[in-house]
Amino acid sequence: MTETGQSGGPPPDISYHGAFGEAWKLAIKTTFLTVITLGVYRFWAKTRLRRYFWSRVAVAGEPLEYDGTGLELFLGFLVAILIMSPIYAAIGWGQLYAAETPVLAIALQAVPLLLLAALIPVAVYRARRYRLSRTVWRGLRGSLAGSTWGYWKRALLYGLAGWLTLGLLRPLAHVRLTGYLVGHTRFGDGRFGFDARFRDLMVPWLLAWTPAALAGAAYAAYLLWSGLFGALAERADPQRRFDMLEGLDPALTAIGAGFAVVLVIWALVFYVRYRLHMIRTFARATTFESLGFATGIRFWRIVGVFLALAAVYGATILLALAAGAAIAPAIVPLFVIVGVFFAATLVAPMATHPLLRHFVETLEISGRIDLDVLARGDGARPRTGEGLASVFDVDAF
Amino acid sequence: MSAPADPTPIEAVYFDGRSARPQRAALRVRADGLEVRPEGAAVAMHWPFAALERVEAPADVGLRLACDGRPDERVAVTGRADAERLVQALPRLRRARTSRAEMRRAAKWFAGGLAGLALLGLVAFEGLPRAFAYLPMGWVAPIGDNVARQIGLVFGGRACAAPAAEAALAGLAERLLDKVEPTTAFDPAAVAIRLVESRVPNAFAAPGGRIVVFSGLFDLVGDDAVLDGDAIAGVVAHEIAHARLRHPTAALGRAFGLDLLARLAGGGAGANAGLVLANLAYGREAEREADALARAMLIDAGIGDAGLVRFFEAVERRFGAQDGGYLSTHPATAERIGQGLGVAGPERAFGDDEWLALKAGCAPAG
Repeated sequence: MTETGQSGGPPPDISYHGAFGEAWKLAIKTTFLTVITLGVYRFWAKTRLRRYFWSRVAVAGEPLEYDGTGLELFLGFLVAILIMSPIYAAIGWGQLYAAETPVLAIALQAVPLLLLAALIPVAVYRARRYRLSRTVWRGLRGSLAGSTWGYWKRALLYGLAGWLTLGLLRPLAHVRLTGYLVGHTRFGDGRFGFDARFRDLMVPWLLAWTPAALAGAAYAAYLLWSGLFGALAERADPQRRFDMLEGLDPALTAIGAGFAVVLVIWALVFYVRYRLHMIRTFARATTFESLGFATGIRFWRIVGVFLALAAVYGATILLALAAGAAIAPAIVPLFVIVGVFFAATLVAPMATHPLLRHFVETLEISGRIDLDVLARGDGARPRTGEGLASVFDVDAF
Repeated sequence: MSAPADPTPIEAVYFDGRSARPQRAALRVRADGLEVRPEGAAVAMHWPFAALERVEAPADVGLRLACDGRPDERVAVTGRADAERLVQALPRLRRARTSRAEMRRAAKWFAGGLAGLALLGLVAFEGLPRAFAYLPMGWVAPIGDNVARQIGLVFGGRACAAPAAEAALAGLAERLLDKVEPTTAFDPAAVAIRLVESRVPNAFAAPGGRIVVFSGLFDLVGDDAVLDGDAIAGVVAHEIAHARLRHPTAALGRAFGLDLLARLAGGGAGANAGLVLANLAYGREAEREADALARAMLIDAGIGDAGLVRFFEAVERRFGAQDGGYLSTHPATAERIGQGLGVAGPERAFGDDEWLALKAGCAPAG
C-alpha cells in the first residue's frame, strides 16, 4: 500500500501535446499500408498509432509511453485464429445443412452470435490487461488485477439481465463491468477505485429506452397483426399471394410509421446523451489513491467530431465510386469495397485526436497526492496481446 | 561501434523503475555507451550504444531514453540544448523496441502473414473446390435442396405446381443420362429438376444434382414444339453437364472458403455459404466445359445440338452481345454460338403433349 495521500502536493497536471497535422499524416500513412497489405499491417499500424497518442499525453510534465510491439499483437491474433477457425468452419458447415425447419435454422444462425457474446468479454478483459501492462510512466507500469473468469462471469450475468429485461437493465451491466475493470486497474502499486451507482444512470437511460421500447412494441404489433391477418387470409384462399400491408388502413399505417421514425430518432439522440452522462458519472466515480476526477466533455463537441467523421467516410466512398466509374463500370464494386475498407480504417485514428484532446483538456483532477511515493506493482505481463480482440474487432485501435 | 567520447556531463532525470521518484543524474558519452550516474549513487550504470533506444515523446518535452535489457528504467533529458547535444553524440539512436534483431523478427512474421494470407486465398479458391468435388452426392444433397430453395427466393420465384411439366423434364434428363454410370460424386438417379415460377429466363445447377429451371425460360423461346423444345433441352443438358462435371460442389467449396475467410476477417459474421453460392457463377472455363459436354450428351441422345445453338441465338436477340470481356462470368454469346456444331438430331426432345405442359408452365392447368 502506498502513502501517497499523506504528504503530497497538488494534483498532477495532465496535458495533450498532439497536433492535427501530425495525427492526420500518421493516420493516412498507416491506413494506406494497412489497405495495401490487405490488413496484415494493421497490428503494426495500431502499435504505431498507440505509441503516438500515448506519448502525446503528459502527466505532471512526463509523457506516457506505450511499449507494445506489432509482433505481439500479430502473434496473439494468430493464436486466436487457430482457435477460432475450426469453430467457424463447423458453424459454416452446419449452416449449409440448416433446412427451412425453423428451429434448426434459427439455432444455427444464433450459434455464432452466442459464441461472440460469450467470447467478447474475454477479449475485452485481456485487451485491457495487455494495454495497461504496456503503458509506462516514470518507469512504472500499469496492470489489471482480477481475472478473466471474474470479468467473464459478471459480463454474462449482467448481460443476461439486460437481455431478459429487453434492455431495461443495461446500465447495470455498464456500471458493474466498468467498475470491475476500473476497480482492478493499478498503476505501479497505486490503485484506482470506482463507486458509481446503477441508479445514477437510470433516468437518462429511461429517456432513451422508453421511445425505443415503444417503437419496438409498435413494430411487433404491426408484425403480429399482419401475420395474423395473413394466416387467416391464407387459410381462406391458399393460392393467393398475400401482401403484408393488406390488412391495414393506409392512413393509419402512414401515421404509425411516421410516429415510429420520430421515436427512433428521439431514442438515438437520448442514447448519445446517456453515453455522455455515463462518462461524466463514471469520471466522478473514479479515484486514484487520493485523487478524484471529473470531466467537462460537451455533447456538441463529441457530436461534431462524429459528424465530421461521417463526412470523411462519405467523401471517401464517393471518391472511390467516382474513381471506379472513371476507369470501368465493372471495377466499381471493387473500388467501393476498398473505399469502405480505407474509410473504416482511417476514421478511428482520426477521431482520436480531437476526442482525446477534448477529454484531456476538460479533465479535472482534485485531491492531494505525492506521486513520487508510487512504487513498482506486481501485475502480470502477458506475452502476446489481444488475439481474440483482433479476431472480434473489439476496439478500433 | 563507438562515438567520440565527450566527458561533459549532461543533466538528466533518471527513473529506476522501482518507484516514481525522479532522480537527478549526470550522463556522459563514453566510447562504447552512455554512462548514467544518479546523484548520490556510488556506482554509475553503463548503457551500451547498441542497447539504447529512443522512446517516442513530443518535441517540447525533450528526449527520453530506454535501454534494452532494463525494461522499466528510463532517462529523461528535458533541456532542449542538452537533448540536441545528446542526439548529435548518439547518431545511431533507434526508436524504442526497434533493435535490428527485433525488426528482422517482425519482418519475418509480417512476411509470413502475407504468405499465409496468400495461402488461405489459394486454399479457398483452388484447394477447397478441388477437395469438395470429391464429396459423395448423398452428403451434399440436403445442401443442394437448401441452395435450390435460396436461388428460388433470390430470383423472386415461387414453387410451381406443374407435375406434368416436371415429369417432361425428368423424362428428358433420363434420356440424356441413359448410359452414364453412377460414381460417388455423381449419381444420375439423384438428378432432380424443379420448376420455379419467375420472369428470369435462367436455369441453375445446385449441388446434389438439384437443378432449378425458371419458367421465364419458356417465354424466351418460341412455340415450336420441335425446334424450341430442343432449345430448352439444350439448357437442361447444359445444367446436367455442370452437375456431371461436379461444378456445383466445387463452387460450394469456394463459397465455404469465402465464408470462413469472411468470418475470420469480420469478427464472426459470415455470409451463409448457401446464399453465397446462389450468387456465384461458375466462371467462363466451367461454362465452356459444360457447353461441350452438353453438346456431346445431346448428340448421343439423338436430339442434336441445333437446339442449343438456337437458344443462344435467342439470348443474343434478347440481351445483346453479352461480352463482358475478362470480367465476365460467361463466355461471349457469339463464341457459344460459334462453338455449336449445328447438328440436328433425328429425335426430338419433347412430345407435343409434353411441350404443351412446359409452355403452360406454372399457370393453373386448364
